[in-house]
Amino acid sequence: MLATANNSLIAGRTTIFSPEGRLYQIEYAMEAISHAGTVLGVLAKDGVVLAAEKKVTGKLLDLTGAKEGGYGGSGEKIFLLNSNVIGGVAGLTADANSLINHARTIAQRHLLTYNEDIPVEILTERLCDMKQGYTQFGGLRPFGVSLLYAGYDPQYEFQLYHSDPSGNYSGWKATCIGANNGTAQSLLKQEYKDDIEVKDAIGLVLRVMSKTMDSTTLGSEKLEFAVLTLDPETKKPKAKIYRPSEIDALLQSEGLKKEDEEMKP
Amino acid sequence: MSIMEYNGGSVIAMVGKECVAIASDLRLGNQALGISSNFQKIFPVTDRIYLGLPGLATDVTTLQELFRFRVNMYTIKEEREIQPETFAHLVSSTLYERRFGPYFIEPVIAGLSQTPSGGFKPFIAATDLIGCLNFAKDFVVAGTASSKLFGVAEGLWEPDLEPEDLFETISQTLMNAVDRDAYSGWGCVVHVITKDKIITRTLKGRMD
Amino acid sequence: MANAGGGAYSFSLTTFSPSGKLVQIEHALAAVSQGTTSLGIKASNGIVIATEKKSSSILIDDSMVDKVAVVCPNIGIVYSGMGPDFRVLIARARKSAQAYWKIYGEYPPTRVLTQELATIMQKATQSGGVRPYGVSLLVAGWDITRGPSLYQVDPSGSFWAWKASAIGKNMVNAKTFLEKRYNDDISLEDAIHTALLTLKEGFEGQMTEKTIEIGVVTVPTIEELEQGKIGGETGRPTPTFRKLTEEEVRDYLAL
Repeated sequence: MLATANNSLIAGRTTIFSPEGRLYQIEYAMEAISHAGTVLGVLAKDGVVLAAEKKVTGKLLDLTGAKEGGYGGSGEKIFLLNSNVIGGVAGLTADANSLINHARTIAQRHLLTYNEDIPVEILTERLCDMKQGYTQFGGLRPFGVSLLYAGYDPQYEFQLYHSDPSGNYSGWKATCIGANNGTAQSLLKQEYKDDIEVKDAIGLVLRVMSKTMDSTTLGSEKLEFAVLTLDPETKKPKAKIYRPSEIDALLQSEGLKKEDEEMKP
Repeated sequence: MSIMEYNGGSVIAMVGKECVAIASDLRLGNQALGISSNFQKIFPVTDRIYLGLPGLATDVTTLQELFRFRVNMYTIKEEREIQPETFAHLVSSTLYERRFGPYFIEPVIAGLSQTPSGGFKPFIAATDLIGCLNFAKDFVVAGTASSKLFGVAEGLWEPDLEPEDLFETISQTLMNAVDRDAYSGWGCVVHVITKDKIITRTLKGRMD
Repeated sequence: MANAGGGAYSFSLTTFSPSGKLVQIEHALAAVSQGTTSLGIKASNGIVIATEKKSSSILIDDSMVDKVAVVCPNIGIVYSGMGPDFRVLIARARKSAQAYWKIYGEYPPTRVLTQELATIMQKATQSGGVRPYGVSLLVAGWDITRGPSLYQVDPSGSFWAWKASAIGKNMVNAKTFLEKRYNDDISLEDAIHTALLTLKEGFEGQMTEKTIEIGVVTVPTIEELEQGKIGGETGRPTPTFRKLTEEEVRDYLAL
């Protein structure tokens, strides 16, 4: 009886190790993410590609708000964190919104202090420091969110990072978070090539997405998509978050659009 | 000595027909000693808003960076470009935050604001150093040559000037006013904002 | 439970269960689904939000109970769930709207105010010593950038934009009803009637102007917009959200 009481005490508290040396709250948070919509990122020679699966769907959802990329445009899972970084989130939406807010503020504070766009790894690290903090002090639960960061800075050029609720982060050539990430990872391992270009990465991302998502349909109502490249004229990073109509057109051109028989007009 | 005279400098903005112009001198001084003839005092805020910051040079840089921070946060959070009227209020409230230890800057704002029917309307405004807004229909002036600018502008400005005529008017006003002020001058820069382009020209001035 | 840190009140009360769920949030949602039904419908020329108002006694003055609240001239909110939590949130929302006005000289767009409320509600799922809010909200408003928009905010702090949605006790049936009834070019007048019809399904007792509350967002015409604020440049903005009076509700019910 005493043992159970103690266990639930440990399970409910983030700042305490269990006797086996585990932090249960982090493990449970990761469990939450493993059910979340898939987010997939591929690093190419000349850019980074992100795609995300939308889980919240409904006939009466108002999708008119989805706007074009650049400074602004954001959907439910893919957000602009700074002019040089796009973020993809998997997990609790509300926690994610809070992290996105912090990331944007961190990035703008960096610009204010150093008069340069924040390097991608610095942004990732700063956000992870915050995530880590929630696992060690204050007694608060961790953020139930994993993120992918697709970014560019002049020093290390295009980069793709992943971070989880513990505050761990790592750099990747291609990776995936959320539901079915195992399947996606092995597909990526097979198909990824080191000198891949954005145009091929787009195809790869969409192909893997269409295989991992356990849905019979594939269209803009289920998918978010973004690409970070360099503007050929200004040589500055250009983030493009696709509009629903552009996503549908892209799927069509890749021959991956799947429609429900009922949905057809 | 007024703190505005420590580095010197002046800015003026004028309304034209479906366009606005904003112009400043290029001098940076240490009281009577000229230091630079290439000191930027006017900064783009969006594609259709420019902000002039005459006053203490260190505060010019600080405020430019602070407004960049706040406008970037606004744009990314609200997913829209800030409008000139809204930006003017942001300038005002930002300055009033330092009511009892102010930035020594008298900002001038010029831009085109989007009308509900999709057109563009000229907008200019200026504030004092603690953010008291002054919306004007014709022109606003600020800086060490402000009294002279006021006088010349009253004589030269007329309503509904086309972009090129507005450019001529604002240039003549600024050049003639700064020639009568020891703390402003050493060349000028003029921006004319129209709905589909920005005309930016640098003018040579007297170097005395 | 003495502790070296801030004591018992510094711990998250909402924590992850082994299955990755935040159980407190699910319980809060259960509290919402016990609340009276509320709904919102976005029409082509406005929005209607409506709710059922229940009094525990006939001696209560119904006109003093506010379930549809005005936040600022362009935004109104209706809720399902716990009344006191709603009152506190409304106070926060109004303060936030005024703080926005102090900086920008205008009231916040619907989306920005919704985000603000969602942030407050998310904090209650993570901060020390507090439980989540026991309410879901429907936020209806008009702004120049996005026009009329309708958002739902849940106790977790997640929010979505809807064409039509329902929350509270009868939400599942009401949503199915709305899905059948809704079309993109529904007018505000039709939407108000659809709202009343939806509430009628599963309504306990008599539907009268005393037991129904309605708020509407109207879209200003371009002429009205060009005209600007009441009393010139610095005056008050023309309201785009308003609550219907008891007389108006009675008239709609009579039809």
